[in-house]
Amino acid sequence: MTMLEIKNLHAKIEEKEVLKGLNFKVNAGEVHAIMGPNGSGKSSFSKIIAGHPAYTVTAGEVLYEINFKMKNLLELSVDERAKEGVFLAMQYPIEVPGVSNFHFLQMSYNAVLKHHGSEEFSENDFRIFVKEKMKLLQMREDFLDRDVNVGFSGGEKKRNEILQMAVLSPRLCILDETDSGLDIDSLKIVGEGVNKLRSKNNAIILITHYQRLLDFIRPDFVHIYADGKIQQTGGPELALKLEKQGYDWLK
Amino acid sequence: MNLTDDFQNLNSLPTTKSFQAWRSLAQKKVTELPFPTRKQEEWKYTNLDELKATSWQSNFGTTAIGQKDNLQAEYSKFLLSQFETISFINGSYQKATLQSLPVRFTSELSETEFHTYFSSFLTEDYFELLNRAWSQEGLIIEIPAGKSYDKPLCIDFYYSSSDLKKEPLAAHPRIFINVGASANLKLIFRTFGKESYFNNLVARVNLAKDSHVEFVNFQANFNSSYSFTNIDFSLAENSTLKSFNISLSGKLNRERLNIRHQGHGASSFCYGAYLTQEQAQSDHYTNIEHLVGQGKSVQLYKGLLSDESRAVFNGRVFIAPGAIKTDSTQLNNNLLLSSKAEIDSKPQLEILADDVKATHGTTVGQLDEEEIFYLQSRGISKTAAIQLLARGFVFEILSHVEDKMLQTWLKSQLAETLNDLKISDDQQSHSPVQKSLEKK
Repeated sequence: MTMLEIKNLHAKIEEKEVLKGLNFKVNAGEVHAIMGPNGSGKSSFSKIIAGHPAYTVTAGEVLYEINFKMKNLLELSVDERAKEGVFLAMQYPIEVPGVSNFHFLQMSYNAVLKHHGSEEFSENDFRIFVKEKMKLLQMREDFLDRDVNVGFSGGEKKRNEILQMAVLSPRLCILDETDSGLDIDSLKIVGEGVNKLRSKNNAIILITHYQRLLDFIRPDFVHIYADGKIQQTGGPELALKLEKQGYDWLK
Repeated sequence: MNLTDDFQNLNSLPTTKSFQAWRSLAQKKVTELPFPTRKQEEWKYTNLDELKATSWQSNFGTTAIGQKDNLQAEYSKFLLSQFETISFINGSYQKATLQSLPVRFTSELSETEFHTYFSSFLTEDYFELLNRAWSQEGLIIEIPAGKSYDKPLCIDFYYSSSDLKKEPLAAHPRIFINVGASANLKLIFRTFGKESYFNNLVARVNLAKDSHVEFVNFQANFNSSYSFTNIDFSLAENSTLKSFNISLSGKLNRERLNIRHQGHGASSFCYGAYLTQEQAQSDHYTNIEHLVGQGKSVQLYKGLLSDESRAVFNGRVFIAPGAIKTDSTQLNNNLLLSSKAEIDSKPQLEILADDVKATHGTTVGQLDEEEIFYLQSRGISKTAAIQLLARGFVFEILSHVEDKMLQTWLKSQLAETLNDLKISDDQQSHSPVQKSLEKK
């Protein structure tokens, strides 16, 4: 079943055009990798899907399946999108001083539960729940009591993103350069964590510059992204070709 | 009546000669002085016209109000069992609340004792003079050397109209506290109420050698009220002061904080959190004087301003000649939640010694759009995200409160105010300013 369908999407930030007619379709259960040269605007694409206010969509549409109907995602606010299962693991997770990771995760999770008419989790119940999820990413419990991402290393921040994903169980997960800044051990933990969260009901979009993340998370499709749109689509072999030949042959 | 009219009624009340003489001096001077205006440097950003124009009444006598059961019952809702409490209701000290504390009154003092507490020196500060001119009774607390109180000592100033005539009340309480050598005190002033009033408090606190004081000035005033705190700390050798000013509501809250580092190795840590809304104003004047060396002073004031509210931070640090190895920092951070809110922040460093470290900085900004987006992208609504970030911003101040019970209580009070915070969308961009000065 189609989960996300993007048709001829054009978008700009300030006066700069970043998406120039992007077409893209994702079905439930699929893993897509979007690869492209640095500075090609891959992150812009992910932020537009999440609803970042700095971007303006100038043409095209983004359809997202909600209760078996394709809805216009662009009409939803950032938090509504999140509550409907859109999740963006950010390339540069934001530090939020003064807000504990635990409080943040609980608020986030309860907001989603509430949206779906479920009963919110008490502090105790949530603590038990989140500790289970932390094991998946081999995170120490004291991460819960620290301020969100404050003083976290690059790798810890990325793990914290995947922890949020594990807690929220989103349907559409976009991982924006989750592999950047990770050493090989962290990459393995994050990769395995993501694999455990993979299911036939959700879809994952991996945005990456390198092949190496794809050694851990095997994609069904690989897209080459440049100049504001998808230039080429193939299977995992396309990523290997990029690894060998770089992006120059595209020009 | 005008704030400086009619001292006759007051002066006809029985009191000691020395007290009367001491008060008369101030009455004379305050009548001669012009009422402060914005032409004076200290009041440049604070308009006192309405305070001046208001007709205030004084509450004479000390026991009348206490007999009003309704008022007592009303007030008692705010009492906390974890605090040892002394209360002033409508400006009158409530003898009934006296606990097992070492409390005395100025009227009980002998002539010799009187002069140890009351200096004849006339300050230039208008509101301190006004307090002295209207003084009726002072409260004296002597914390014996080596004594440590587990329970915070809470001094409440509560105002409620129930039995008073139409004119709002002006009261001028005065408190002296001597903290003995190596003693430990947690002190809270709470000013709150349900009608217009002018609480013009003067307090003097002496910290003897090696003593430690944690002080909280908690202001949750009625929205048309004025609350001025003029507090003076004198720090002897190796004593430590932690001071918190928490300003949540009131038409104009002002704290004039004077700290004199008189002994070597004394430390003062001053923190402030002000949450101003609507047309409220919060005004902080700090004056930290390092008179001797090896001292340390820290100031961190954080403001969250919404609607058309205003705040002033006027921070003076003085390092006297020869006060070497002094380490002083001052930082004032502000978040403006509305384009109509205004902050005037003015650091003032006077460094007359070499080999010292003194830094200061001011920032003014809005909440970070990226932080709001991040929280929203996790399902948290924009309003909740802003509240969460605002909370994170001001809660940093409370993280420095040592007493855990006190910290928890303050957190709950701040959270309540933050939940009522109105979020305006018209945040304009202001460029943050950061200044730093180092002298070696």
